[in-house]
Amino acid sequence: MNADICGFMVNGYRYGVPVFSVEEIVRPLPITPVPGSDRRLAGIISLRGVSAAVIDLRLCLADRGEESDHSPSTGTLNYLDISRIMKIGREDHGCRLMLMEDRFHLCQEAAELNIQAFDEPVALLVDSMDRVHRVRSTVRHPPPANLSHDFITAVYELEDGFLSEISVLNILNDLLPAGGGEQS
Amino acid sequence: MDEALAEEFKAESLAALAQVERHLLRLESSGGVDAETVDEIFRAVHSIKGGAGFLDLNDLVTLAHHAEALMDEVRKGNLSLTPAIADQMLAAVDGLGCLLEGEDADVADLCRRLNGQIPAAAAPQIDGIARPDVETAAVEVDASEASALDRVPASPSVSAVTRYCIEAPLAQLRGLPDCAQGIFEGFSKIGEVCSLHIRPSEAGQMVELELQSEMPADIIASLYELHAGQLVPALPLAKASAAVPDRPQPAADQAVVQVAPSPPVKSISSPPPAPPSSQAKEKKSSGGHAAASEGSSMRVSTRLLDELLEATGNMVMARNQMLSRYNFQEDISFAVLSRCITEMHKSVVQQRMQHIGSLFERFRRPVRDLANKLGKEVEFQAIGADIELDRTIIEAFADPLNHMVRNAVDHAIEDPAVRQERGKSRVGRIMLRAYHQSGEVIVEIEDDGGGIDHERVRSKAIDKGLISAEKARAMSPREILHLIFSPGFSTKDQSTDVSGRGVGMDVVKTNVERIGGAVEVHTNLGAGTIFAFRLPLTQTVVSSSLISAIVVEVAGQRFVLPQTAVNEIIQIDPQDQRDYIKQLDGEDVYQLRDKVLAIVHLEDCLSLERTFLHPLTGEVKLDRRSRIADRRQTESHENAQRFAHQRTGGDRRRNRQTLIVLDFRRALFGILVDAVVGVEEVVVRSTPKLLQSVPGFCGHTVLGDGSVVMMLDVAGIVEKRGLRLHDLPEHRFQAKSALKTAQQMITFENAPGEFFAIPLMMITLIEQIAAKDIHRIGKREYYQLKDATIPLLRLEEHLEVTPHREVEAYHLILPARVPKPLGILVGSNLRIADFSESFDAHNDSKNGVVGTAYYEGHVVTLVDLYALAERAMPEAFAAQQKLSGVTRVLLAEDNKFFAKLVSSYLQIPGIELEVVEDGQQAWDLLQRQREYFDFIISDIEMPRMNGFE
Repeated sequence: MNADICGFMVNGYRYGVPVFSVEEIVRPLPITPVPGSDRRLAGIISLRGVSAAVIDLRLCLADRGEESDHSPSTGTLNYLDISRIMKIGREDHGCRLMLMEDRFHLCQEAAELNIQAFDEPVALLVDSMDRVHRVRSTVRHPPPANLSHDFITAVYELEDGFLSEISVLNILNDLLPAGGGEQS
Repeated sequence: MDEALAEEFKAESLAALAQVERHLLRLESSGGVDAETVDEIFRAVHSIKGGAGFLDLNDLVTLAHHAEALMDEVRKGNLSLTPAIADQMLAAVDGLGCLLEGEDADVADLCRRLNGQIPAAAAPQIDGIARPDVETAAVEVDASEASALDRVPASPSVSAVTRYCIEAPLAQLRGLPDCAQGIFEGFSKIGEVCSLHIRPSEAGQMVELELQSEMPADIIASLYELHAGQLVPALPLAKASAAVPDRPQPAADQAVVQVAPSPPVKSISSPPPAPPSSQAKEKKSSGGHAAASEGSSMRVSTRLLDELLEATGNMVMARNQMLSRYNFQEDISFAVLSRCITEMHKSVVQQRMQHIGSLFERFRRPVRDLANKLGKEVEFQAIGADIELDRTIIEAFADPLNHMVRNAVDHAIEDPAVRQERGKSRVGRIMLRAYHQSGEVIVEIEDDGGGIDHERVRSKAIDKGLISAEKARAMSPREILHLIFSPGFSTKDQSTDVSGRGVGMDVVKTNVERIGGAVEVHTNLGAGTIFAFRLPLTQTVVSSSLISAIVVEVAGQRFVLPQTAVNEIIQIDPQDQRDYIKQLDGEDVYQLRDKVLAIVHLEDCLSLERTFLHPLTGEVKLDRRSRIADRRQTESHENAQRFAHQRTGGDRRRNRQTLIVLDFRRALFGILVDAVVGVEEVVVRSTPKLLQSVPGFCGHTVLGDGSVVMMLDVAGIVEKRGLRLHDLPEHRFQAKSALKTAQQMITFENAPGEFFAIPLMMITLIEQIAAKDIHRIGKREYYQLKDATIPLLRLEEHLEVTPHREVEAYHLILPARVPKPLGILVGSNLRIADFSESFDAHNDSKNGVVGTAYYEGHVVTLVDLYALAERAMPEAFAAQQKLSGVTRVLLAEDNKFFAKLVSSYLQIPGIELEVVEDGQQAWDLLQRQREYFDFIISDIEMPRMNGFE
């Protein structure tokens, strides 16, 4: 069975998500930072009347050394973070925003595959877009054991290297404060 | 079962039950039997029965049937609606409610009790149950309507009735239309149809019918050409079932009308046989809506409304963005569109609003029940039922109010005997009252019960260890009263199952505060208590509501604040900072008139870096100071103290800052921001879930320029900063009606116990000054205020009052509109108070006093500022008066107080004053003496003829 994976680059690595969970890929919009939020959340955007929280994948998928700094519970933002985040979308023209669809708007294909998406759209901030890869399930491997987080659900072996499939749901669960995910 | 259908039935039936309850209570209280109301009750119960039968809810049917039968007796006049019957009906209504909610109810017992009210002969049987097939039935022929209705009166002769079972092909039944309705009607002519079932078979449509008739079998058989075997006499209907009516009836005993899909499905249009069932059928055919009779309303799911609201909110936002980008002034179509959008948003928001009356009515019943249970007599009144509040607020307020009402019945209202002893009427009164006041809704619950005894509250609180005895002594009566809101407080010596468990009042307070409200208590021992709840009209955080917001900027980022929360905006010049922003215990505070406000630095609160504009380069730089009062230091507070002497002059670094004074639950505090960018109408949107846990925000919005900004949540800031706000002591509820003539006054205490008042509108400035800054030249005193040297006067110099004792600080009041600047030195305890009309005017205003009033337990003297100023500076006033000759002034003013006030200002030589009471008099006078008056001073709002006319 084939799968279509939308690939993108973050921190120099190639990652991907199922293409049918992507609503659209847009150029960076001005992101309004939300002081006090988890620093992996870049802020909030409004695109054609739809508001979405922006997840900075570069911070989510940072290597382990940096990841130990992440403490979603305290959620304080220091000065450096602010200045960095405020630049996003204004200067980093290399990055892209992907608007992920919410459960309600998921296409039929996704619904049939029983993709449990999200209650509301979320945006992912990535470095650049790759392309859509049609991959066979035979090249799908479980994630290597030494990956520290459970955001990566599978690794695909492509002609020109590897692509890690990430689970946005797992990232969301990690970002949502305890119990927050069960609301609604 | 079709869940949506069941849901709808439930919602409708509950609404109908509420209606029934209201009717019953009204009937009971009015004493008489109003045929129309009884009819309505009957119909409501009846349609619940019908619907329940439709959905196969047998318990419901049984209970509804009995309730219906009882009401039928009342309707026919066989019974009158005695309290006992009303009790049973109410119990049945509760039972029905429980069943509808899926809870258990003792149906058997309820039915028995209902039946107990009916003379034996008329007791109903349970037999009529309509159960059309949900999937296929398009035609509903409600056999039960006819049977149940016709049966009840037909009591004595029923014994001769025989019961037949008929089973025959549809085609064979001669002379009958081939639809269920026709058959039903046909057989109804000869007897009573208990059940009718049409099912498809090999031989076509088969009709199964149960019939009760007085006619012999052979006549029926010949009438319809029935073969032997097709008509079988069944057992006579067990009359015994009346004795045990709650016994579940066998299925065969139920009337079943089922129409298979194949025959031509016709809707019911033929004239129905009996008038009572016709009514029922009309209702059925309109979809079985019990609510259909209540005018043109329909039920819509709240989710749909919320979606609609959000969509319209987005429309408004998009429109606002377009307005800021293009010039549409010439474009009429856009103007129309724009207006439509606004209108639409308004009506959608309106849908969220609910009359508070619906909430009030909910308590009529509990009050009655509770009063009966406790052996008290209570009259329940509700005023202001048409006041509208946001649905969410009404819902959130329901529980607290419920608690308060129960408390009032249980604790406040005394037993009838006690009441009589105390010279009150036996019947206690509980009144719920709602009205608008200054953009909020006040809901009061007033009782004329025993009132709250401060001493008991005090001793109880000490007993329970809530406060220490010393502390209790120091507390004001108001503080003592508020102890009842402490957790774990209850004065009732024995707790009952009604109230008095010591939980509740604190929960009431917290719940009310959670929706942005506040509660206040006024009590009069022996005469009653008023609990006044102050509720916001809408919750500012309600998603998609259109609110006016203040856009502020801090550390280069913009945020919005709901304007309703903002009390005042104060620009602080760097030069003034030192004078107004002080440090107390390491925190910055601001002195605003007579209050000291906590200052919250928004940057700190949001963990943003403080920035400032470099005065020379204009760059934005990081501000490393830890506090405003600290101009140099990043280090500890001790260090800051050490360098304190170096702080001279104004703050050179920071630009103007803006202090926004926020009103949170009637208490004030300030947040310091870099600038106020503007005011915009914004649509609040909820925060995406990922960001909802971030404290300090209650939503976000899109501004006209398209940028997304977060909305600050005042409650969140208070919580985040751990502010402990105390109610302002001067705040008090304007209980009862707010008089339209209420005027704001500054009151102050000159000598202890002597209070004075000056209208706020006549004052330009109030400032606290130090005694050492008062310069004395001879007997006169002066004060240097900015560039001007102003003479000071003291009240005691011109009025016969006790001199102010010498203190270190005074308050300086500058009156407005005086020919020369002049300061009045007044004493302490400055407050702003709302004064009503009840002013005793003194006739002689020459002495500098306009009148006296009684306010919060003090006699307050209203000072005539101008008389004072004139005495202090006769030469200045004299000079002014010389300019004018004799001026004739006509004053039209209906309010005596204002007439008095104005005339006192005009009583100076050279002015002839004529005072009339309304516009008509003024007009008449003017007609007569057209050229006489030079000026007319007129109030706009007056009886008979207003100022404009």
